[in-house]
Amino acid sequence: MKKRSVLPVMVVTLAAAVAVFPVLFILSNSLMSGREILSHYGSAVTAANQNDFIYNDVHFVHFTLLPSNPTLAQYKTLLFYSPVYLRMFWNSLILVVPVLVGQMVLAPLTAYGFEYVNWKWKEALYFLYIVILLMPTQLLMVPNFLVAGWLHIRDSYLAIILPALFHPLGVFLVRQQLKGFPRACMEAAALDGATAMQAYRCIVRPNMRSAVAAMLVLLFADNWNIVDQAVVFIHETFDNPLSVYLGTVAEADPGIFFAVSVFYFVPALVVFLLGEESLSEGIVLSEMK
Amino acid sequence: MHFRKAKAEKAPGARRRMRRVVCIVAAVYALILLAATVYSQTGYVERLPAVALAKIENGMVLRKSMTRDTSGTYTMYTVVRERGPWGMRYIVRQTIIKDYEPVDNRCIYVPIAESIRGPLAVPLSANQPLYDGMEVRIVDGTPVWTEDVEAGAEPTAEP
Repeated sequence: MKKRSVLPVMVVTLAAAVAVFPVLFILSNSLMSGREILSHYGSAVTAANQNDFIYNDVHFVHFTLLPSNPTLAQYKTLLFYSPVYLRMFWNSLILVVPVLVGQMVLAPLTAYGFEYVNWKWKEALYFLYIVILLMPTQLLMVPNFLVAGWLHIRDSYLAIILPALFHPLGVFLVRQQLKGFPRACMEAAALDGATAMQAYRCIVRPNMRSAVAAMLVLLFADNWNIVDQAVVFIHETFDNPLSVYLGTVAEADPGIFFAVSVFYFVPALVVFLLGEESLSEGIVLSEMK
Repeated sequence: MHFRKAKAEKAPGARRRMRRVVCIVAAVYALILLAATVYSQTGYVERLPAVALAKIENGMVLRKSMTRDTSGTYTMYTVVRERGPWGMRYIVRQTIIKDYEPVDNRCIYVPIAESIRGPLAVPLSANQPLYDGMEVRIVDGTPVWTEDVEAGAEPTAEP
């Protein structure tokens, strides 16, 4: 019988625990009442937290995973008494959906153009794409801000959606997969008289599903957690996505912070779980090792 | 070896089951979200504390629209219209009154009330104690300000 080494198992278990802890922490704490949260994490000394560590009349944070009286009160308050979070959730969705739909159409087409259509400055432009991909978002916001001003779309979702539609990540992922696509298929299609668009529609596109799915999962995560662009372009509080407002919930409504967090990460979790297989497959096929 | 093979064969089924569970969770989540969104624009508004409006005329403020603390200081509550998550909403604003002159059992003369711009309406009645920043709904009459008030702007009185 093969002997298993304990150390790698311990390291992996520890890493998994570290990664899962925030999720477990948020989930369990979302079942606490607002009063219990304030007694655990507030600085004020109350009858409920007087046994915790207190120094100079300041109560120190007392982490716990088990609510003393599990309740859905946070969710009730969030869903029935805090319409602002619902509005912001929809704002997040309004920002993300057009980007995903647009990228689903544009990225494979652009990648196909880069890979199979021969033109002079193709590689130079692709190099530029990669450079843009490597640039920090904050650096790109200055030109984006200027262009949004010229187009009169500042303080509008278009100022965020339009640059995101042409984000090079999708093109990069799909083109990497296209590089491994058998050229013989394309040549056979050409011999049969298929046009470039027909070859794309009938041969390339159906075989790019995993790469496109991987791209969608990554882009969802990227755009769902958007903060900088929204802070720069959207001035009206109620037009902001939930990701921007999430940071202020802890101060404004500490009693429902954990429920808002659960509410916020569920879509990302669902998208990841649905696209997990395609994500790993797409990344492997894109040779991003 | 056999065990591994069996496990590998089971994997697609388990994956399908997992996918089904995730889809059910997503559907339930979407339903809850939709229901809560509909509620936030219907039931939520109907359950807001109701207030009636009255005009401040010549600095005369109704006692009903004020509260008095133990030190004798009056707090006057007015209503402003501002942008909310789902369109315009009515918010209670409070003004601490230090200078006043009782007129009768119904009214108090407040010199600064004349200089208060915008909200000429004062809540007359409320089914909950008023506080600054409270969201309310208006009953018994229509708001006195015009409909062309821009988001965040002070409401203006009708001519």
